[in-house]
Amino acid sequence: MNTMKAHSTEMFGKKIGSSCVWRASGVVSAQMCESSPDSCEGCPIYTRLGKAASHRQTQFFGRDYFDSCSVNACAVPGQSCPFAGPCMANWSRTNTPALRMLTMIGIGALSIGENASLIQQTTRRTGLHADLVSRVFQLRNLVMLGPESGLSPSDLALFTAEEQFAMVAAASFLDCLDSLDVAAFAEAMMERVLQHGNGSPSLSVKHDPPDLRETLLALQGLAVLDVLPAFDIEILGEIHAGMAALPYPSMALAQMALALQRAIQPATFKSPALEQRTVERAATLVTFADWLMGSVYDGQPVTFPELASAVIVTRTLGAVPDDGAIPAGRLLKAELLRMVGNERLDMSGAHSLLAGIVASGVKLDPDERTAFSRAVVLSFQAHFTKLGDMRADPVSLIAYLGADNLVRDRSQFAAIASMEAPEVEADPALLGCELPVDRFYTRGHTWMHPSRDGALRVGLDDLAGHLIGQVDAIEMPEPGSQLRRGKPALRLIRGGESVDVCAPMDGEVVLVNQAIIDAPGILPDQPYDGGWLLSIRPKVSGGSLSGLLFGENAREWQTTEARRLQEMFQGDMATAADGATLARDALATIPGVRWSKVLRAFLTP
Amino acid sequence: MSSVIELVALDITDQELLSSLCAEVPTTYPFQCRIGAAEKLPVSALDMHRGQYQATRILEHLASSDRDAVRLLGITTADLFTPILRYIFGEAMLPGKAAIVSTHRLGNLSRGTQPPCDRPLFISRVIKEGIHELGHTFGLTHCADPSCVMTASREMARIDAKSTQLCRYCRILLDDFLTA
Ligand SMILES: [Zn+2]
Ligand SMILES: [Zn+2]
Repeated sequence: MNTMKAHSTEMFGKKIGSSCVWRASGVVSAQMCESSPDSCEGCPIYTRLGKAASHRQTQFFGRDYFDSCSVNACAVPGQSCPFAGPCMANWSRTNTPALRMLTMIGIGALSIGENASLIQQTTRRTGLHADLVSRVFQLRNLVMLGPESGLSPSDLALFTAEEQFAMVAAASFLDCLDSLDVAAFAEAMMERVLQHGNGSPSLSVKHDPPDLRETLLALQGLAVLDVLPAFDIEILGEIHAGMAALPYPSMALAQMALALQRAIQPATFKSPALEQRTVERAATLVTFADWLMGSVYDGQPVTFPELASAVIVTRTLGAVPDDGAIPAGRLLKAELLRMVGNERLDMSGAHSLLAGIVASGVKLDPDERTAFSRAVVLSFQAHFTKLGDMRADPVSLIAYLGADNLVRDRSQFAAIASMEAPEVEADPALLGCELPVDRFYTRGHTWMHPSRDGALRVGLDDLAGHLIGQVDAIEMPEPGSQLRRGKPALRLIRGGESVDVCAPMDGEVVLVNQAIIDAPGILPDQPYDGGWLLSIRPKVSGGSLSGLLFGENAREWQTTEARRLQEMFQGDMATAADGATLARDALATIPGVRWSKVLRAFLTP
Repeated sequence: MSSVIELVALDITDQELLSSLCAEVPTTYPFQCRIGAAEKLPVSALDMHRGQYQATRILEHLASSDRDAVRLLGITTADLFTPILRYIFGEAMLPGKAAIVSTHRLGNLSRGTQPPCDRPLFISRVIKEGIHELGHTFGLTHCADPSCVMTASREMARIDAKSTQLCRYCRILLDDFLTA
């Protein structure tokens, strides 16, 4: 009866707390355990979930995790899961999808380029890698589908301004802003501005700092989206004037406001609307940085991030001479390198230091850049290895992206928006069929892959390809014809039998793949590339994305399909066959099987 | 019922292989193991067209025999298949009395389609697959732990990478099955 304890010891491949995951998570108190020190029998959670749960823990970070999560604290009344971060089971239902998305973007962005192997090693070790990769693609696809992403303005209102800004900033880093539903984001952000301004767009001194920060972030988000000019010039004027009268409680807010002013009036941006006292304070801080650091200034301790913001403010406004911020920049650099030496960066802090250094005109030499990059990765690793914690706050995620961006090539971020699917291994659970993670699937065994022009390429999955084999002919719809989701889109013909492939989504046919009409053998041979069927321009409507399968959901569904197929030909006896790889043209291997009848059972969504 | 697991040699004469497997079985399952009388593969299981034997038919044949054993594990050099699948290493009733393992693709020196491997490696593969199929007969399904003998075996690398042992989780599930 010691199974719960025994199992828990190895939850993450190492001992956690006093070996029981329930203990480690605080769900079970030490007292509770001590009441029955030699067994778990007295444990209410053990009793409740029983042995079945303990077995499933093996797969906690494995592929079957969603189904088989045995922590299931969510099922224990009044308990929340200590590992809610890595659990993506409720991904679409949580109120903070922004955090998840950002985490994925952050990991994805850092997973390319020179740091790829380090990151991949870490994520593989925690078993998260496959899921992360698939989530990055999911995000990419959602973002690229724009309004189809299912994020409505009212959903966006659930996010904090910080999250909204983080989403927009992340999309900007990834160079896929153009495919965001910009109007929805703009609307949500402006809503935020008006809300904090009590119905008036002007900023008022009544704002307390958190509100001010929210408002400025919302405005900054609007600036990143480049939609500020679309708003009434008078409203912008009011905001601008409001800013001038604000007492900035911190240099960071002053810096934010400054960025905003430049965004509002890019052509005429010359003199600051920032309160003069703030500018003077910043200049003093920069000039006497050496002396002020580590002391108390205006009743507040001076911090490095504060100094970095001051450098940015004064340099943007020309409030100190060109070389006037060099000493402050050197101080920032020394501090940054000290942090790098520790190999554990506080990313928000490191990012602002770095921004300050760049603004001061002090250069990092190539070795220092490399060291910094490495420290970013190491701290990133540490951050995400700790219980695979995905609950990082958006600011630090943006900081990761931003810091990396400052020292490295921005094109890396753009690359993720157009990255290719990683090589997939043939999957035993799928009878050796492949299921790339970079696309959507339907229950009719079609896949859809968005392209940047908004069209969707449609094809059949590998499992269907194995069953279809070599067809004699394909009857394609005419380009321009309208498809209805779930209704026949095209017809496959073989040996006098025929079967329809149904449309995965409403839309108009843009293009059909002439190559497979000429050589139908391509269809089963290259189901995911050369064997694509047609390209459609999807019709946008509410719920178009519902019921589509992606990533882990797709794999789960396909596993049951593989099982269904096997059972179909298995007879009455329940058996397990090992070494199972689906035969090419599998149905042709069984005499007397009606090709069209079996296929209809799989291609009908 | 007898509490012995019986190995059934189906068109296989490799005594060393059979006794190696026989010696290994009791280290995992709490039963004696013996090598039973050899017999021919049932002709009804042969698919002339494919030149392979249909494993499920062999299982039916074994299960309906009157051999006195708690489990029957058939071993054969023949190539096995089940409909729609290209070939299989083995198949077992889940759970049930009978299981079968084929040495055909496990790297036998004298016969088979896999590149030949050295003898100890070949024997260890057959042991792993035998223990694995018996696991299914005791209700165990595939395990996510790559070192566990119950991990799904599809390609040789995965078979070679796993141990001959059940992981601790599968061992507990086996206990549950046997005491239920
Ligand atoms: Zn198996
Ligand atoms: Zn196992």
